[in-house]
Amino acid sequence: MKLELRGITKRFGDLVANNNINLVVEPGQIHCLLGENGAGKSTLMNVLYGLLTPDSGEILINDEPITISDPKDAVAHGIGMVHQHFMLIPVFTAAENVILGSEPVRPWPLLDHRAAKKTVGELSERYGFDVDADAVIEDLPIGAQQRVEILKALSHEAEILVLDEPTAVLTPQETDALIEVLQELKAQGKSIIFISHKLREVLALADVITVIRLGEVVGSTTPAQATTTSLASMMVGRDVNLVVDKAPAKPGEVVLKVDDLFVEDDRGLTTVKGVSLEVRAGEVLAIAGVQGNGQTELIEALTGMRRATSGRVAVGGVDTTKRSVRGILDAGVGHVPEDRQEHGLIPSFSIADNLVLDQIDDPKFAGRFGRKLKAIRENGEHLRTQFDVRSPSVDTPVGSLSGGNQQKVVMARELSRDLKVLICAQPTRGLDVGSIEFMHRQIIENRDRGVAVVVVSSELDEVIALGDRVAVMYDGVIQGIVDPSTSREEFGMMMAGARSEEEMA
Amino acid sequence: MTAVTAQRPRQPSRFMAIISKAREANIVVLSVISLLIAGAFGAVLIILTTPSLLTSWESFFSHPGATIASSAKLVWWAYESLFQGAVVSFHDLSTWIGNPTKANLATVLGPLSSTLTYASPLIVAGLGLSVGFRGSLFDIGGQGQVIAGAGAALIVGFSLHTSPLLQVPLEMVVAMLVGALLAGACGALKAYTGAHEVITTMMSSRIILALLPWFLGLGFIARAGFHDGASKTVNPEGQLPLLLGHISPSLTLNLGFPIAIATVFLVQWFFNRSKTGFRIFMVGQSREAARTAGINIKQVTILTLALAGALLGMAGMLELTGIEQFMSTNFGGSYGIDAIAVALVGRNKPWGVFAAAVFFGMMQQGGQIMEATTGISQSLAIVIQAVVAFCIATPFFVCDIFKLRGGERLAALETSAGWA
Amino acid sequence: MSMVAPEIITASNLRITSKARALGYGITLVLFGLFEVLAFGRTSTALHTTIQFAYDSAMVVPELSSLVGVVVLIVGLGLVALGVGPRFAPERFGGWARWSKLQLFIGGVGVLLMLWPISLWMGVNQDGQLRDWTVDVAYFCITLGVVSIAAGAVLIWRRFDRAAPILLYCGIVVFILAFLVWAARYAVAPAPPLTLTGVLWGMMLFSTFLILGAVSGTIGERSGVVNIAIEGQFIAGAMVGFMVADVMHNTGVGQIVALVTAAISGAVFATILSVMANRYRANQIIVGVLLVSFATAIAQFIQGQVLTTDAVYQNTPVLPVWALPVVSRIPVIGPVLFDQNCFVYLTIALVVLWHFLLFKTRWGLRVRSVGEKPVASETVGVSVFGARYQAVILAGLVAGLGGAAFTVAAGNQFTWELTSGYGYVALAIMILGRWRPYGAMAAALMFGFTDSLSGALGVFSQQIVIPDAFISALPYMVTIVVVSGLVGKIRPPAADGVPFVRR
Repeated sequence: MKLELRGITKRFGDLVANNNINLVVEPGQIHCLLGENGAGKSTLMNVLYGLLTPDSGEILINDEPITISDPKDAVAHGIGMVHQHFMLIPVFTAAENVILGSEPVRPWPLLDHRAAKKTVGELSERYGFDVDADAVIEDLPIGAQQRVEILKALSHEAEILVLDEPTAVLTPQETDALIEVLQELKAQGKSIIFISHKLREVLALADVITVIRLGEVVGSTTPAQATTTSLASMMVGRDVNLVVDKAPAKPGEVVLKVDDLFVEDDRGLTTVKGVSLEVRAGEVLAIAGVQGNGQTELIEALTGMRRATSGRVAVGGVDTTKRSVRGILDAGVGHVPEDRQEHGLIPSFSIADNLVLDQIDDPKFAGRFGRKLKAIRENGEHLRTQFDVRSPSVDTPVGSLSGGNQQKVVMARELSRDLKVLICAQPTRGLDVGSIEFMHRQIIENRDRGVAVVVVSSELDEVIALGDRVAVMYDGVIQGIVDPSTSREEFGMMMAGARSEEEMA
Repeated sequence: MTAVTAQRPRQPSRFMAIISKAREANIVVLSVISLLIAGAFGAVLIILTTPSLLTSWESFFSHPGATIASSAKLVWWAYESLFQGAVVSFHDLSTWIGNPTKANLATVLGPLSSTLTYASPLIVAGLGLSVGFRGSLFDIGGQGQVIAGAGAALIVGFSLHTSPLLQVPLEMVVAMLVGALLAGACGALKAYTGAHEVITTMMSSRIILALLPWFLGLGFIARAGFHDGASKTVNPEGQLPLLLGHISPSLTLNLGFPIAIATVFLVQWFFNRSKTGFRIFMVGQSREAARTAGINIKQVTILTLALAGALLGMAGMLELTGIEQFMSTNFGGSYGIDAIAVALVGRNKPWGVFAAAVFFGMMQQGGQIMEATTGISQSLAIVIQAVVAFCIATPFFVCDIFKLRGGERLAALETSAGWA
Repeated sequence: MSMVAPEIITASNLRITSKARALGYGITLVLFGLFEVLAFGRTSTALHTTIQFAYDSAMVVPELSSLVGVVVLIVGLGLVALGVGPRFAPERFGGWARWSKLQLFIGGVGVLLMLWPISLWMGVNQDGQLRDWTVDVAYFCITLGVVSIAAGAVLIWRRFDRAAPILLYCGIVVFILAFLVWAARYAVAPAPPLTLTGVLWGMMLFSTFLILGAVSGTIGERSGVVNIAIEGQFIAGAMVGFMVADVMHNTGVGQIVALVTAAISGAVFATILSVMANRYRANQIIVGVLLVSFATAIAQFIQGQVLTTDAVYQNTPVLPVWALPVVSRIPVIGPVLFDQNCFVYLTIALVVLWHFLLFKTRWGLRVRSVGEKPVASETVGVSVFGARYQAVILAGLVAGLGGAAFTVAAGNQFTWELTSGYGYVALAIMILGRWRPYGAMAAALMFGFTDSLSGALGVFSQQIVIPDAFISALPYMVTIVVVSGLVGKIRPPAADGVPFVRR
């Protein structure tokens, strides 16, 4: 089955997630969509699957234009989707998940479990899967869950299979197994759209590679013509280079010291594996890397949001490993969290209140008779002017501000304290160019004032522009700490884990 | 898949602007509509349950005017006596103006005094619930805390013979302490094990209710010589003094009312100005952001419920020492449940809670008078109360029917959804 | 309900937890046993307790007390062997391992058949009535205690993970029995006997509304809608059922119509709830509480305005008691299970029906999927709102019927206080029952038992150190302990109470 996307455009407010995207997938072809996080790959696939309605453009199957308004239509047209976050019911068995929505009943209204198991058995045999129909999904390893998800799509007689970042959650062994499965499916004539940002597996798997950047198609190529280097530069290259006007850093003494830190995530998997860092006063250490490689957990451990399993963190020579969040803030750590809506701000609160969220006890803002509302307002007015927060007044709820202004509020609050260390996670994600420049200027100003700054970003440009030194993180390990002038290709490969894999090979 | 062009908003005319302003949902419009709906609902109930009116509706098509008039007359009579019974009787007022004696004044003040007497503990209990809601915690088992607080105050009340200046505050402190312990324990369970406060507070309330007969039967609690499940009476030193006792001892308004007003001020300060109140609100609005800002979520959770419990315990004490003076198995009526509605109708604002509690008091008091004069069951007032509470606390329905915008904004308080 | 991070369940740590559990259960059993020996067993040997079986002479099958009973005994033994045997050697019996539920049933029937002649042999009076047992309190309790300690010790030693819960339940039952015997002790006859059957009989009828309420909650929450308004549906069902039955003069047809209208009145409330929850995405807990106060208010008004004045509503309807043939003659169990108010049969049938609907049918699978992860259900074309509306409204029918248990089934005059908060208790029972109809039934029986018991123990209140108020409070304490996750983890449906928003 041939699939064609023609001129797909999708906007979210001011953000253009997909801009006039054209894509052709031939029958029996593995078509890889390559791009950074936030490049617009998932948006495109959600349009294809009927979860999002495009602003313009059309979808053609076998050269016939079709309408897809909900997932049911997509399934009816033979499109199967394997979502990045599996659409499986964790407490159901594999068979129940596969049949859900098109259950065999015999006699009515009894579920025909035997028929369900037979379906699962036949499908797994045909495509060489190893799936136990009776296993409960949540007891299965991630790789097996993914196979159930693929089976589910195949059971609906999908001709085109879309896999959204399928390897993001897999171990290398599971990835190899998946690639085998996909080759088998291809051999049986299915078309596959494979979305990834990992160069190595794309090269290993693809028939055609299409690179997407900032919502637009940058170009198409084949594995034969491409190399990891050329793909990396296509993927991370930008037309406009962000330039931050900054003097060379004058590093002072070590303020933040991280020693052999191990951290587990919510599922109990170790995602930070022995990270050691030193950040000096007056310098910016940028941590680069594709998201999900342990940066989130590292930041959480540094700020006390998560207990490290082992290792040591010290701020200004004081051990803060076992301190509470409050204790760490008091030690002079400023934290601009990754998810400003969830963690950084309280959307229903006013700007003024949000500007003192972590300074409730500060004698400036609270006296014997409670919070000094006037001082809080004045502080709000002052910071609103200083940080150019565009809003009707300081009483405006923060939730009604734009992303850039929200981030300015977070940044203003953190910088209004006396800081030794400033930790910024994805400080400019989703912001407009003006706000990005503003954030960068603030970060550099504080560096020059002698604050030790840690910036975590998956935007390579930002990392290069801000960092005095750049640490690249992959799979919970610092791949290396390099100078920002290192070539983009080199960075791309380090971020994709290519370097360490080459070293291992 | 055709291209969708962005629609340009049309410039609204001035007339439309006024209409749209009135359509913007706000609490005044919502309250008025809710009262009207409740009134209409009550009217329907009256007509449906009065046999003489029902028979008159059978002849609706022959004498439509008479049918409607007779129905309207009864409904109006009911609501009029409801109001007069709750606030002031016009007849008594004119009598007093013509003949301003102390006895007549007492009759004039009677209804309002009773309304506010009933409302006083309810104000405090409603404030307790709203402290919980402020932190997104739903203390559904407030009834247990009311009873536990009253029980503690009772022991102090009948066993000490000191000065009222000492005994009343002591009773209050003990009641608040016990209420806080009970609710705080549920808070601790929530903080450390994740047990949902709706279940734990409800169960703790059931436990208290189950243990109440045993408590009242204890040798040193029970009234000597009786086996009717009633306790000893609070000593005069422990009773809240009457405020209007010099006019007539039948005016029950007591010190509980000023205490309730003081509590309203205190809670308002607590919500708007205190650091702890701000922390509670932060945790209530966003646990994650509060945690990032260095707030100890567990501690605040326990504290929130403990404060809510303290206020509910205090409500129990006001009910005991201001109104009932002794405990029996049905002590406290439904204060714990009514307080939920009061907090929701008052939209969690201290003065809103005050107004809602006074409204509930009016309904309670006026209903009795209405039953006495018209013979319509006083529970009509409770129906009106419930309909108003439903319309105000879940405004979606009303906003949808009357095409008011922004119902979500008016939607009552966020408490955690589900059991997780 | 617990905030514990989701953990990776592997076969090995599953084993570890169940081993630890077996240890905990074993220790509990030993403690129970020690308590039985040391506290109850210390009673003076002069004290006795009479256990009365309240076994109606008209119901005895005298033949069984003769040697004919041996046949029944042998048949029973055979069934027990069939039921229990393959459990110990599943591989030799192949497919048998899969039939564990049927096996349990067969085994249970076998035990019943064995009990029948044995208990008759133990004594039938001249008039054919089962003889009361008089036991020596101290020896009785010490014997039970020793058995319990032994069972606990074996459990600690061998850590059977499968048998642990069953042993614990038996231990609890034994403990209660010992407590009862101890509570009803007397020195000189005549003293009020302990009517064991009466307590259990009361438990069944008393549990019906709790069971129905909890099943109703289970259905709603399986679909992801929290229904805290069960209390309101109880009130509505109780009131409407009562009024309809009285208007229709309590005839058989009238009572059936009463039950149906009671159910429908529950569904009306459920419809309001589901519209609020689905269409307006309101906070379901708050809507529920307000619905309860609305129902209470209406009930108060109707009671004050109509029921007290109108002569029609002065009768109390009561559903008939049906004795099922043969099985109702089994000693103890017969009268409790098979000589009951027909509402009890209806309740049990509904529990079975709802288990079947939720776990065996297509509709049930979809409803459960919507309660777990509605996004996933939607991607395969399941209508999330459709399933939720259906589930909540059907649940309303069940809860409304539960309300009828207060009046139509039990023969009470309706008053608005009649339900006295049992709707909220039903919610707790639903949680204790782990969102399963059978679980709900088991948990409800516990509540029913303690309530029935605290009534029955009133007679012996002088001899009991623990006041019966504490026995009434016990199930609520147990609920708090269970909800806190102190005994195993509780896991509600993942999307429970979370309004669904279409992308």
